[in-house]
Order: sequence, then structure tokens, then C-alpha cells
Amino acid sequence: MNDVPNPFRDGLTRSDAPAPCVFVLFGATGDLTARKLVPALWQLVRGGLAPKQFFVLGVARRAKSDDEFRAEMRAAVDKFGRDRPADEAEWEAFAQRLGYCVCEFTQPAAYQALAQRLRGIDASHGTAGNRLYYLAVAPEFFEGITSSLHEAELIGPDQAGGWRRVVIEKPFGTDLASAARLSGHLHGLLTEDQIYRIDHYLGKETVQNLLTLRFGNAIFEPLWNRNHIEHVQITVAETEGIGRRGEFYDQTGALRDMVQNHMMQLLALVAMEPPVTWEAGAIRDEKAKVLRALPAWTPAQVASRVVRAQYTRGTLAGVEMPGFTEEAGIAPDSLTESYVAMRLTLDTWRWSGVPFYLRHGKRLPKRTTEIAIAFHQPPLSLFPPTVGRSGNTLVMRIQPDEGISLNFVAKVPGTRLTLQAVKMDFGYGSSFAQTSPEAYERLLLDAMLGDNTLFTREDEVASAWRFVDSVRAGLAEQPRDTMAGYAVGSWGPAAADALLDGDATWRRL
Amino acid sequence: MDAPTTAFLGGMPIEVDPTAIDRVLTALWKPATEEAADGTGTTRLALGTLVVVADEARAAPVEAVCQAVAAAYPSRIVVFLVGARDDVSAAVFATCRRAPGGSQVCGETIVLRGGERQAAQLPGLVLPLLLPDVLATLWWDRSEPPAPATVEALLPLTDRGLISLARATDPACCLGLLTTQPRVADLGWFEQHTWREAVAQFFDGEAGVAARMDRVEVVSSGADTAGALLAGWLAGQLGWEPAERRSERHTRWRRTDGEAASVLLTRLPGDEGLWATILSSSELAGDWRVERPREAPGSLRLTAHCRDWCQMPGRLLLPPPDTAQAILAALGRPVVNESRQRATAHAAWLLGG
Ligand SMILES: NC(=O)c1ccc[n+]([C@@H]2O[C@H](COP(=O)([O-])OP(=O)(O)OC[C@H]3O[C@@H](n4cnc5c(N)ncnc54)[C@H](OP(=O)(O)O)[C@@H]3O)[C@@H](O)[C@H]2O)c1
Repeated sequence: MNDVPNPFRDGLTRSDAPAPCVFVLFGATGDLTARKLVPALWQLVRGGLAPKQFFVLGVARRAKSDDEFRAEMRAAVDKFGRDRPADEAEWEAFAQRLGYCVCEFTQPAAYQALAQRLRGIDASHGTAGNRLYYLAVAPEFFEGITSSLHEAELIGPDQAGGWRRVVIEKPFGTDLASAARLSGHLHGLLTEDQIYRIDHYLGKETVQNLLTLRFGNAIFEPLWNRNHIEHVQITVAETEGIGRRGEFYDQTGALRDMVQNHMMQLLALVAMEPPVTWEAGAIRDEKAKVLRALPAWTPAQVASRVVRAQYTRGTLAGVEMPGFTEEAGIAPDSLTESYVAMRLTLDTWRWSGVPFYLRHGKRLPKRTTEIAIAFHQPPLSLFPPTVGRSGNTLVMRIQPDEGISLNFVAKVPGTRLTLQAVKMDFGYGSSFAQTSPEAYERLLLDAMLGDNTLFTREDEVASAWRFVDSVRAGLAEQPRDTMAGYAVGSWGPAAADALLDGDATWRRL
Repeated sequence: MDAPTTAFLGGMPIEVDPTAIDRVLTALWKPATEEAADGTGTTRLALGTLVVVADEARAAPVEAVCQAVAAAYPSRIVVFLVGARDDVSAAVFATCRRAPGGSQVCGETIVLRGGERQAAQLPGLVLPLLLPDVLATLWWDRSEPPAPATVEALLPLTDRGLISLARATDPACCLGLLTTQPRVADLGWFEQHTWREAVAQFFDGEAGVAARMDRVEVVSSGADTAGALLAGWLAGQLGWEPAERRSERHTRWRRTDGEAASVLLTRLPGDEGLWATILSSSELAGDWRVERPREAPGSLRLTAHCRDWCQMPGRLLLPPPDTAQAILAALGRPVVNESRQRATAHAAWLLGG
């Protein structure tokens, strides 16, 4: 990047702009490209946020012309985009920066053609040799594609002829050993700074706002510790089942699909210490420390702290649905969990003794992701019992209706002293009428800007795997009948209630 | 819900005693917000207070702008309309929109009508109506700038002021106000955002080139101030200092390295605002143009003519001038902006102030 600051950027809404580059999109005929990536790139170009000298080169196996690819991406933007093109001229301006290159990922020779195409784009579009490679492909291709890119001298630690960055989608390995192998492989070709492990949860407005709330306001941080917080609940509830991903899901399960990545990231953001500066390195250092503080559990600890379950036939929103082991692609005797709940503690000064309750499941009654911080009850009960649950809870809703609320008790008007829980609510949708950008828009722009704050670093991934591996090993030793069941449309198995301390209960969402 | 509240929420103006506005509002809101317990009711929300001072003749367009602002930024809007009368009347109505999840979010508008005598006592009328703890903004829509006494009384109590140079009968006087009051901004500044972004895009990653510019030209029609403001911004960002006014249109400047530079303001007939800006460098024998094409005036075209420079034309959508959007943009930005301050001071000099 050019070190001289652009004098015209000073004072503008955007103080930083990405340098010219080619966005090389592996898996360009895939689902993720059509649903998220190209609509996000379109939105960035439309909003004038992408570099002016910019090109998106789709790469996949199927043969097609640039024009065919453009037509497909037009259909994708019409279907999935936040904004439609205002007129043909606007779309044409974007389409001229779209191209397609056939490449069988497993054939090294194909990368020579890719290299040649990229050189041509640099010459015609002024993209200055800068490249962002986005691997929207199945993880088994990560190593092959990056090796071939390296052999074709398309990536490498040397960035003299333009920067090179690689974005990869989860899963980052399937356990600690495979994650370490993948990291080892990538580090043989690139420096850690060039690797962007994307977790789209981190691009969401409330997730970023969690840090603003904690460190931009003076009132919360003094309360953010074991002295004031009774427990924390993190919930990722889905109404969806496993859809057509049966075989994949039977190999993966709730723990690896959701807990190892998204939920560990949410945990790290809630529990981290204030960073020394607002820079990627400092923020990621603090997140990594939290994940390092996660213990590796013994099988006995797993038995008392984790509940796993599978959904059984039931009704959701009036529709009867099959049980987990009746789904296509799931083995009838499968021991894969579609629900997991756990109670964990962090061995740090700030959090010692504070339980963090995590739960995630499929086919639950609502689609909701939230973090709830439950504060201690008053030391002495001066008042009669509250109507509804008492105690202060700060809730950060991540989806669907992003916002923050604080529950507290107040007196019900009248001559008698009756207390009721009330809620102060801040909703993004209602307070700020402008729509938040899609998570991918924010993250793709950050990757082009070279800002990896919201991407996951190697040591974070490794620590999260170390913990999750210990849970999986513990579960593997448990007898088959410890797999609990919960009816489709319920809030999970009764066994999960026993994980909570004292009179705490799972929040009814 | 009772009939007055239903009418109020429906946006129907309810006449109220000007001395009892807050009391009446509380009574009108009460039945509406009580029904909010089930989560699908009405939320009264104010992200800020917007005080608008306008001439009665402009009531309709000002109301349209306020509606658009309220839809995106639920707030308390206090409109003071100055007409030919000698007393004050007041009316209130709610501005609601549906929020995700089915509930409705509402702000409120208070319309005060008075004459010049009441306008002179504006602070006393408006100050009791400002909400505590949230940002207060004054939008002065009258073509005459506010009297110094009004500025002195109101500005310290509001957080920012917005005026429109393009509508001012005496732009020089308004520019004077802008240069001395950093918390007052011209709405035209926010409408020029896309132009500034377009110029900035040329030099992303090529910032060193900007320092070698030695000539700036801005082509515009209509009010002089728009062109002067953009030219003032360009010169200010480049660090140029005013040197000599050769004519009304042609000025000499000094670059940070001491070399000479010039700014040219070119006027075209018509009233369509900015048409083009061209930055040139004699050292590099090149120019960088941002133009609004006649055949597509809703966009900006970026072209560079310089050896070794990528010739790919760029294009940005140019939103049509829209006062509500300019106000919303202002509400979303820091109150004081040094670039704007510099640009305003340079514009004042360019126009002979
Ligand atoms: N879909 C989502 O919402 C989502 C969300 C989060 C993460 N992810 C992850 O993102 C990745 C991509 O997901 P997806 O749903 O987009 O997958 P997909 O729809 O199956 O697309 C796979 C893409 O890879 C290409 N491909 C496969 N084998 C190839 C080969 N040997 N040579 C060249 N191209 C080959 C396909 O090209 P052809 O069509 O030409 O064969 C296609 O473009 C996966 O790792 C997934 O886990 C997806």
C-alpha cells in the first residue's frame, strides 16, 4: 500500500480506501458466491467503496464465457442483492469488471492460464498486481489450491510486486491436528498476515457493537467481572434442520459446526480484556488470551458439563417434521448431536467462578442468536418477590432483530409495593432507519483494506479446537443412552436444565 | 386508544396551547405507549431534537423534508414558521413508521406559527422544547441569515446549526457566519459529498501525485457558492494558501513547496449546480476530471489524462440534491469538521470576502 496519505480522504466519511486489486473468487459457480459474495461485491462497488481499479475474476470447473458468468451474477444480484441496479448502465459498469476463468482446481497447469489472465487484467484494468484470493470451496481443496497458486508464483510471502491475501471459509480443520496441518501448510506459503479466516458472525453489527458498548462507555466495564456478573448465556438457536446437508452434518455435528467457531468467537469478545489499542493485533491478542484460558476437559468433566441431544419428530410452526435420525443422509444409528449445551468457566482473575452457559441447537422454536449477561441479585431482598424474573440482564441480540436491551425491576404503579421486571430496549432497526450492511460487505472490504481485526487468527483457531477436541473425546466415551432427545419445536432436552447453577434458568427467548 | 391519540398517531395536527405543549404531548402519548406491553405497540423515540426555522411560504416543502428526516431519524421536530401574524399558535402530530417485528416507532412534530416579533424571541420559544441529553440541531431555512442575537442565544444551546448558502439572499454574509461558527454548516456541503469522494478516489494509492497538482478548475452554473466551496475544499486539502485575486474568476495560490498554483471558477448559464472539476499538473502534463455528463446527470464520470495512468473511466452514482438527505448526512457526521472549515474560509476568499 502507498504510505503517503491521500490528502482528499482527510475528513471524508471514509478515511481509508482499498488499493486497486483483483478479487479472485474460487468456487464462482457455487452457492456462497451467488447468495453472498457477488451481491456483497456489487454493493461495495455500487456504494463507491470498492477500489476504482478493481476486477472480480470467478474461477471454477464448469466452462463458461465471461458473458455467461456476468448474466448469472446479474441474476444472483437481482435475487439476493440488497439493492438492484438502477439502470443497465450501472450494471454494465460493474459487469465490465467481472470475468470468468475455467480452472480444474486439481490441475496445476490450469494455474498458468490463470496467471496469464491475471497479468492481462493488471494491464487492462490497472489492478497493480494486488490480489485477494477467496476460496469459496470445500475445505479439501484449500491445500491443493494454495499449493498450485504458490507453484504458479501467484502467492508467496514476498509482496513486492503487489500484495497477496487469501481468504478461507470455515471449517478451519476438523480437529486440532488437522487445523495445525492446514496452518502449517499455509504458513509454508504465506505469512499469517496474508491469511484471512472469515467468520461472518464477526461482520455483524451487534457483534462489533459489543466492543463499542464495553469499551466506548465508562459505565459497563467496572461491572464486567466476577464481582457483578452472576453468569453469561450465549444462545445460537436455529429453526432449520439439516436440509440437504445430511451427510456433511452427520460428519460434523453441532459442536464443530457452530461451537468451535462462531460461539467461541462470541465468548472471546464478551470475556476479553480491553485491548491496548484499537488495532487488529491488539484486539486479536486479547481474544486469543480468552481462548487460551479454556481448559481441556477430562471425560468426567465433560460428563458433568455438557449435554448433547438429537431432535425427535415433532411440530414446528404447525408443520410436523421428522426426527434427526430420520433425515436424509443421517445414519439411523447416528451419534451426531444436533444440540449441545455446556457450562464452562474461564480461569482468569476477571472471570474465575462465573459460569458461561452456551447452547446451540437445530429445530428449536425460534431463530435467535444472543448474548445475555445476568448480573447478581441485590445482596438483601428488601422487597416482595417480583412479577416475572428479577435481576438485571443485559442482552445483546445478534440476530434476527439486532439490538441491546437491559432488564431491571421497577415498582408497579399503585398503592401496594409490587415489583415488575421491565426492559429498556435499543433496536438497530427502529433507532437507525438505515439498513446495516451485510456482514460479508464489511468483511470483504476489510480484507481489501488489509484490516484483519474481524478475522480469526491461527492461535485462536487452535485454542478453540483444543477445547472442543477434549469435549468430543469425552462424549465419545459416553454410553449411547446419554444422547438425549428433544422434540422438534422445543427448547432442547430437559437434561440441559441441570447444567445451570442455583436458581438460574435458560432464558426463554 | 382514545380518539385524539388515534388522530395524533395518524399524523393529524392537533391544535394545542403553546404554553402547554409538553403536558398535552404526555397525555396524547400515554394511551399509545401503554398498549406497547405486548411488544407490538408503539414506541415513542427521539434520537435528537431538530429545530427548523422557515418562512410560512415554505411550509409545504419544509414539511416534506421533515417527514423524510423523521422517517429515518425518529426525533422531536420543532418547526417555527414565520408569517404575517402577531401571536403564536401551536399544533402537534406524530410521525410513525413500522419497525421490524410489527411494532411502530414514532417521533413527534411540533409546528409553531408566529410573526417577525416572535421570531425575534425565538430562543425563549424553542429552548423549553429541546429534549435533554440528545443532540439538538438548528436548521435555518430562511433566506435571511439569523440575527446575531439569535445566533448568540441559540447556538450555545443547540449542538449544531445548518443553513443553506444556495438559498441565501446574501451569501457573503452567510459565509461570514460559517467561517466564524465552526458548528454551523452549509447543507450544500453535504450534497457535495459524492464529488469529494470522486476526487479522492483518483488518488487512493497514488497520493504522491496529488502534491504535484498546480491548477484547479470548477465548472458550475447557478449559485456561485457551490463552485467556490468545492474549489475551496480542493485547495484546502492540497494545503494551498491564497496569494492573489486576479479577477472574480481567477485566483493565484501558493503550494506547500512554495510553487505557484491557480484556481479557476468557470460559470455556465443555467441553474444546475456543479458540472465538472478538473485538477491539472503541468509537471506531469496530465489532468484528472470529474464530470457530470449532460446525457447522464445522475452520475459522475472520472477520467484521467496522463501518461502511465490507468485510463479506465470510473463512474459514481450522484444522488439528486435532496435537503432531507443532506440533513440526515449532517446528523450522522461529527459537528465540527476541519476540512469543511478550511473549505468555507477559502470559499469566502474566492468570492471576495
Ligand atoms: N453456502 C453457504 O452459505 C456457506 C456458508 C458458510 C461457509 N460456506 C463454505 O464455503 C465453501 C463453499 O460453499 P458453497 O456452498 O458455495 O459450495 P458449492 O455450492 O458446492 O460450490 C462449490 C464450488 O467449487 C467449485 N468446484 C468444486 N470442485 C472443483 C474442482 N475440482 N475444480 C474446480 N472447481 C471446483 C464448483 O465449481 P463447478 O460448479 O464448476 O463444479 C463450485 O463453484 C464451503 O467450504 C462451505 O463450507 C458456505
